[in-house]
Amino acid sequence: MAALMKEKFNFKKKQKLIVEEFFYFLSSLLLAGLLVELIFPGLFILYFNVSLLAALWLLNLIYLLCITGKK
Amino acid sequence: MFFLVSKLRFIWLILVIFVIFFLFYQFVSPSGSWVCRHVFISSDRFPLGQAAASGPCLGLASPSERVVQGQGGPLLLLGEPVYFSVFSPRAFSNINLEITYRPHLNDVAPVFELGFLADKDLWRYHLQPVYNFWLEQGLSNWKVINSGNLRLFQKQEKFFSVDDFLETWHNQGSDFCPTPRCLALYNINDEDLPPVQNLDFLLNKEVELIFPYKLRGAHQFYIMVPENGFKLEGFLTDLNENKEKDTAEFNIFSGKRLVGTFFLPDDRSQAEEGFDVSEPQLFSVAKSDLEPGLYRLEFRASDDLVISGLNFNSQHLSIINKIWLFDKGPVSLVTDSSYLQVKPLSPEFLQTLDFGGQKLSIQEIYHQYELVNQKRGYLKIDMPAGGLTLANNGMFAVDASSLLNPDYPRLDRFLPLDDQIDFILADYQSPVYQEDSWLRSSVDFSASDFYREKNHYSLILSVPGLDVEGGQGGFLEIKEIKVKFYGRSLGDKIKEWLHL
Repeated sequence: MAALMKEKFNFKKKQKLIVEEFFYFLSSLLLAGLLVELIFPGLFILYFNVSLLAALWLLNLIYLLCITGKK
Repeated sequence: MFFLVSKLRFIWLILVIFVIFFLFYQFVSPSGSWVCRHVFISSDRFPLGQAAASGPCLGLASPSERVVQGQGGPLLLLGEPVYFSVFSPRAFSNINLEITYRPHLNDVAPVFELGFLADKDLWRYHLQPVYNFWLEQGLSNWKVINSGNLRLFQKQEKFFSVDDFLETWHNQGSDFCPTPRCLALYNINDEDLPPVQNLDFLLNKEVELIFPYKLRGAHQFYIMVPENGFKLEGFLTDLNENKEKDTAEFNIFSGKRLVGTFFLPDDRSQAEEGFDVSEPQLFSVAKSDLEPGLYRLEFRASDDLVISGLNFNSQHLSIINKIWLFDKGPVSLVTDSSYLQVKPLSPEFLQTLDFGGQKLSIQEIYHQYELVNQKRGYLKIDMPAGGLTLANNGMFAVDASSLLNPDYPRLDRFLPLDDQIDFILADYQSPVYQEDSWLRSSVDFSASDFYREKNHYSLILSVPGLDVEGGQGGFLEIKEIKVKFYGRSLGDKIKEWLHL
């Protein structure tokens, strides 16, 4: 039982870490995009769908808040 | 767990760095070229070789009411002009544009041209021919001889080679013409052309001309400068409707060569965008060392500036192609074209004007009215009030004695092919015929002086006469637009920098 609990705890911790890193990745990408757009207007949005990236980032954030909030 | 975090962080950091490098590579374009390709007929909207692209590099066609596009179908041009913005990561010195299209044009709208914005202040586009209905189908009973892209059309066969014609033309001028202005040109560089007529006899008339009407915004003039040089005086009024400072410039050109510039700074005290109209400010520009002869005078200014009381030291002053009158009282002008385009910009100037005896009732603001008169020669335009923009393919002047037109007639939709014109010389490349009667044309531009804003060039597709409301000019189907920007590569630039 204890082993099962530990495994579940580890899985949740791993899941949180992955979601966190994905959040950092999307945030960095959006920040890089913002900087690129400021310096070279139109270049980032030519290759990246910013609406999709922003939606992913938001969903990721909501999910991250949900799993962080659960004690 | 620590290793997992390190691995993940390493991977996404590499990804972000790769993205930044990729974008920087696109910006630099080390090969010296970059391609924007837009296919309307399928879902392929990516720039060539860049499958990761998410947004089209060719913007949406505007105004949207002039185009129609069905699901996966070609873009239909029903009105003109139509504008696109074209993205390029940096400025390039040359542009090659390939367009695949199906023209359904007729003699109402015979000319299809495209080009890029070259001068934002004067809203001037550099246009190149794509398809000319007259040259492709409309002159079937004329004799035609070709020499490369040069084509000579003759109503009656007089010359047997283009070279023979060019030699006669350059040696004798237009003396071979049985009637004055018998030669029309299309897309011929007019830098080295013999004059359409000898205008030297006009130099002897040293009479001052006072242009009695007010003109708003940028204008271009042909002037005959007399022996004692160039002198122009007038008044400048600032309407202060726009927020930018309203500096102005007079530029004098001999052919395409700039020979004089006069700068008029905006030192007026009124606040911009305050609608506080300034007092008329006297200006005087002069250049006494100018050789007597024909010059083009360009007045570069925003729409906030009105010039009035123009006093010129010669009798001959013609306004080229477009005039924006600012008078509230009656206006009377003369033009040498049998066509007139009129646009009222304020409800107080709705009126009925007279163009060579033909009446035109103007009842709607911002609507573009067109009038074609069957008479030839100089036609009078009488308006009960000014406040209109008038445009055509000829000149406007205050009376017939001050009008001069040194331009050759141009092969456009208003050229009277029936009587005056006996020869047409065109620099024109026929489109390449493809499957399903699609045509492909390729046009080259030198892009170094093109206007570029926020990494976008402004592309125009123009088919004068194509009217979305009347529907008389036909329509145009567009399958694909491919814009190749090119110039020196990074390697060439490094070699030049190192003097290799």
